[in-house]
Amino acid sequence: MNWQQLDTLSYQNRLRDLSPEHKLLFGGVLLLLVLTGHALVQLLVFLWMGVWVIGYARIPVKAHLLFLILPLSFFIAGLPAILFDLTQNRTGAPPADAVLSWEVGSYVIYVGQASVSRALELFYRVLGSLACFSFLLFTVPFAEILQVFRRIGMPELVTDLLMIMYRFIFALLDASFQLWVAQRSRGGHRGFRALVRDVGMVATQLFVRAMRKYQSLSMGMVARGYSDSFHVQSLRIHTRSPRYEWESILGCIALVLLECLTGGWRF
Amino acid sequence: MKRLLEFSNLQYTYPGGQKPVLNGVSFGIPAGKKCALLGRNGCGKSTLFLHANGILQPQQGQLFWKGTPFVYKRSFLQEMTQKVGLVFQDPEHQLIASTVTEDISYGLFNRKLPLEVIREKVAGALESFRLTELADVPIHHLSLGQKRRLALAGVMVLEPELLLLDEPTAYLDRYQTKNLMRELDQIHRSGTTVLMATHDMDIAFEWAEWICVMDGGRLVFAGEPQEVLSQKELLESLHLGIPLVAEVWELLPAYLKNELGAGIPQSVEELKRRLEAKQEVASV
Repeated sequence: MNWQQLDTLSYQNRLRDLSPEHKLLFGGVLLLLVLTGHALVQLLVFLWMGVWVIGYARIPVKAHLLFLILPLSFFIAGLPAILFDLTQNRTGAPPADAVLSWEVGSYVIYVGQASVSRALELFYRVLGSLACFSFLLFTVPFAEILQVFRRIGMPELVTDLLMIMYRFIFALLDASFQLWVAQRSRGGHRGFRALVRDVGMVATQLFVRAMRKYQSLSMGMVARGYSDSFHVQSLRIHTRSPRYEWESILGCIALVLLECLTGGWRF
Repeated sequence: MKRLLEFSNLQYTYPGGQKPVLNGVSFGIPAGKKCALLGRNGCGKSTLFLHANGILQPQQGQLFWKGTPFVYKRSFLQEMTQKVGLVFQDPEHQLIASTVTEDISYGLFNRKLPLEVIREKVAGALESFRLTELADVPIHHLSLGQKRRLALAGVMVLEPELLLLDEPTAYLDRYQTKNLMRELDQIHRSGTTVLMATHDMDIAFEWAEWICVMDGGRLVFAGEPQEVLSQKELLESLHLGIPLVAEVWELLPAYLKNELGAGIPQSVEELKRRLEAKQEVASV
């Protein structure tokens, strides 16, 4: 999955017509619940979000899973640091709470009970919050996220920068793809050395072209009467769906109650 | 003839450039006409356009808007960008926002109009440029033709008095070119003066009511399309060529030309019409 695809999906999903504020609020509340709650609730949020993304928004299962797997790989890369501990071997026996242990010279490398439960706790949290992000990114197009940011009073500078960045990520990807194809069709990328050299060339060319493009773009902006800030507005009218609203509200209440019962929340 | 915008002896060299790009251009754009600016690549057309709405300041010479000289002050230039709409050759250079609707609204917000007016105007522009279906599509999902149309819509929504287009037909297929010309006709009918830079003789001759030719940073000719064709040597020396329909006309025998009426037909359609009219007369 590439970014272009994520973007396309977010513009074509079935929940597109619902108000972006509601979706952001819903995703935000669940994210908060996942960050403060415990394993059972986190797992439930993960599954429930899956139902929303795949079932209601009709995002392909593959896209949803890929979205989860990519960031999860960072979690996995960080796992060894969480799981493994190292101590000096004095007594000849492994530490009391070790699940696994290896002796290496005068040291013991071991996986403690505490680290395992910490890793699990982290895993559920990561899973739950990724599912929330998947819901937000797949169902709310970036332009609408920006609209909401503007409405809730995010500083103009931030929203303007985000807007330009969003616009140019794709311009840049496009340009780099064109350069890549041009090199390929002119016989580049032969062997590892040439590949590295060609990739370097793409990078420098991209920089040069970006600077040139910046110049023409600033002219284009002046020609369209740029004065001090960006202001744009979408005219889309969003609909409301009682069915989805009820499900989201009731679901959230149920999850909060569950967290109170099973987790550590006390009022 | 009333002049909308007048260039007087403009000179401009880009910083670090070897030769002046504009080397004493002087001419006026007649108000209310469909105009074409002909010239080969690199003859200074785009640079001239950047002068026309005040983005570039000439190193020598002056510009006049309806007789009043340009003042290079912020407020005046802001006003000029509104009166003179400029459509760049590469639409990527002027599309800024992330979706079609947002981009059209950009210029309107710069004019600080009230929100209801903006909504109304954007909706109108979406409709007249056939963009309604694409209203919420992000810009990077559009094709080149659609991007061109959006760039034009974003400029026209500001209702400029003069519309400048830099090579608007470049890379467009025949169908899209035809649509574009029809849109330009419509814009012209609603009262906007249009000046299009191109190197396509066929399009210029068929569409324009007034043609000027630039070469090497200066103006070499300005006048009616028929007059341009009488300067055949000039066109040939500039390697611009002559329109296909004119070349075909040249090949017709002299008596046929006499019977078909005076002047070179401006388009293949006109030649067809004249031939059909003649046949009807003959059959009667």
